[in-house]
Amino acid sequence: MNLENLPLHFFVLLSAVLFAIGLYGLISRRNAIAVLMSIEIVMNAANLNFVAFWRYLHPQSLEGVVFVLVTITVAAAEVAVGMAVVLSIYRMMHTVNVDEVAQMRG
Amino acid sequence: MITLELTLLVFLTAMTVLSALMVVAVRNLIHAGFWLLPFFLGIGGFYLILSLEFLFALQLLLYAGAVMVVVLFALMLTRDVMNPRVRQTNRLYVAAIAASASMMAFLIIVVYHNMGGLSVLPGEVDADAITRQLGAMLLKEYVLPFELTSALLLSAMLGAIFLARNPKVELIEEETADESGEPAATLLRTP
Repeated sequence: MNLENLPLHFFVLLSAVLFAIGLYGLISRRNAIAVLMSIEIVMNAANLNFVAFWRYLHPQSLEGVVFVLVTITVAAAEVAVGMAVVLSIYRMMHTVNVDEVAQMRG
Repeated sequence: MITLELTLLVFLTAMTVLSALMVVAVRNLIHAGFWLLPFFLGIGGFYLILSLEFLFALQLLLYAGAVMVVVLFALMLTRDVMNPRVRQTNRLYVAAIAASASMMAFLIIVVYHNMGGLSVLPGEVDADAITRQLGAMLLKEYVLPFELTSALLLSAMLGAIFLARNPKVELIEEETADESGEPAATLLRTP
């Protein structure tokens, strides 16, 4: 099999598997930072899907790649703010486990 | 017939899926953070296969560089991330397996039933012109999202600084400045 003959469903299946793995981590992890890491896996799976559909179906217009660029930027911003929130919670409650941080009043 | 390209593809796929599994399953969270690196590299390799060198470089710089460093720093600033006796999964453990397995089964079934429409081969693309085209697009048709992204980055930076500062440290700084008349270097004196 040649890489030029790689069909689209390979990429769709791969990103489906990666999405499911990320979803598992998102639900099952206790540590808030590990939850954010799982979100990164889910976002990368979505990015891979965007790029694959662009490359196979609409290679002339680069909309899919622009989407991925914006997604990567938003993910970087999300990680920065998310980690700041996590450190702030850690300083206040001395834990970052999402099942222990159940108080809504500061 | 096993070619070099097929071997490379199998290796890349195995690396990506295995490291994603390690990220969500490993009990030592520092190790999980380091497993992000082969995962991001694998995704970057698929960008290369799809002839997007620019996105590959961006993946290396932003994900494998910046995001991973921030994640590791945050992990090292909190506690109980390396203790092998501490449970890292919550009570929804079984529900999580069920949810993700059914999600995966659903997606695979959908893909299988649409195999005809999804068996297309990659379209023709001028790999050398993509980055140039992308730059032109970001400053012509997509200039509004591009500028909005910069506003988002600025507000995220300010928000992160505001959220991460320690109010107690600043309080001490003000108190000592009032007493002696000059701001003392008390940043290290956390209560």
